[in-house]
Amino acid sequence: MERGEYMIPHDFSYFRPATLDEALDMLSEDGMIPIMGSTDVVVKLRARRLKPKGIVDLKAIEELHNFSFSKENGMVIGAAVTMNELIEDHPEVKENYPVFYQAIKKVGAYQTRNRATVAGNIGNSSPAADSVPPLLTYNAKLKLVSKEGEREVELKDFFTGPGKNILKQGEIIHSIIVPYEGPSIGMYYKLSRIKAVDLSTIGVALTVIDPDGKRDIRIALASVAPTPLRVFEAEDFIRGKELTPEVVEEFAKIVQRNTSPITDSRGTKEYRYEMAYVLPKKILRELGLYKEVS
Amino acid sequence: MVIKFTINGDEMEVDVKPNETLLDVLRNKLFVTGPKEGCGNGECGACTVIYNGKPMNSCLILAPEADGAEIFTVEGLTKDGKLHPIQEAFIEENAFQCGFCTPGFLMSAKALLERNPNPSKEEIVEALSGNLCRCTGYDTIIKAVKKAAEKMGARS
Repeated sequence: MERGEYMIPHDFSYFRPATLDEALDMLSEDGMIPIMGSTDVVVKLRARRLKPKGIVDLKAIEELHNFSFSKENGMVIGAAVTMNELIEDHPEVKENYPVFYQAIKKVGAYQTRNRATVAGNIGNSSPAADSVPPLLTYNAKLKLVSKEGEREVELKDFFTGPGKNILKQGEIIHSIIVPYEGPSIGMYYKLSRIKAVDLSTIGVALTVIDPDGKRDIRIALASVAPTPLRVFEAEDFIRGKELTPEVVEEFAKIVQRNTSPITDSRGTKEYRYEMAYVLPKKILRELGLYKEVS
Repeated sequence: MVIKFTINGDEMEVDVKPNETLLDVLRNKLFVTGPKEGCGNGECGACTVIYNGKPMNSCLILAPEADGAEIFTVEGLTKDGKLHPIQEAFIEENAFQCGFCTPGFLMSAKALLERNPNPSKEEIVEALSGNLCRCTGYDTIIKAVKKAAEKMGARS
């Protein structure tokens, strides 16, 4: 590259409003896009997959940096809170949402997580988004705001396809609301070609709410369908049943049957399909919830 | 647009375009060439700088975002011609061959030792997992960070 050439090939304008109202005004114009950590957006700009007229940087808006947790109101994560802030500064995350904590620790690398936000991960709407499957199992909701007003939607209803979602022009994710339904255990199992800085070939979040009481098992997957996928059918099947090898076998088969993986640079559809059956069983075994008959 | 930031403690004012990255500006406008462009996609860590106290990939930061930031690069490690203990440790442990990745590793290592002066091997591996080295391998780098922690502990 010659000196003076730019890595990002086209021009756009840049704004950093200090208030949400100003930001929403700017974003209501065609061709304007919001950024937070810009870890996905800059990559897309360089690859010419995004050609905005202008970029509205939301990081200076104070209210988007809020984080709160209480057992009554659950966890509220402002759109500007970075993944490392959730991992390092808010012990409530690890304590009350362990599967979500495990998943965000597997996003990118340490440097990425100092910039990347959960709202950005959701807004980017990749089927491989690691933060999403655990949030689906915890019944997360999103507060969306635009100049026209605000609305609350279920995370499960947010995605419409790879990179696609229900956000309208000028509408942003303001915060992520995660109800607290009791103590939970579980695992986010990510298979990728290398341990760090890779997208998931497949990601499986299995969460058990109230493991010593009603033992509500929930499961959601990344990279096996056009959108992150929660498999309610498998949850309904296993609810209240004793975890015998036969029940777990059927549970894993239902999970697998609900996936529709594709082949790409990270793995084949056959491999993903097989892993969608293997991993749910493996996680239940590693959590000590059942033993295979010897 | 004109932005202001500090690099290794020096205040700078520089005219940037929104489609320049911080790495573009550091290397091409300010000739701060410690941070390298490897992949340009946040995967290799060669462009790592310490940004407001935290290691980040400068290739993923738009230049205007850096207005008001405090930026630290490998150029700031050496004081009055004297190498930083982390640099000494990298030399003593032969923790580099071609050296292209080294400024990034030094930044990740410095940020780690600031937040955790006595890291375990696992913590070192995690902190360096965003930095790729294609010739040395990682054993000597991990040893160097461990040694740097000892040197810095002994000096403080």
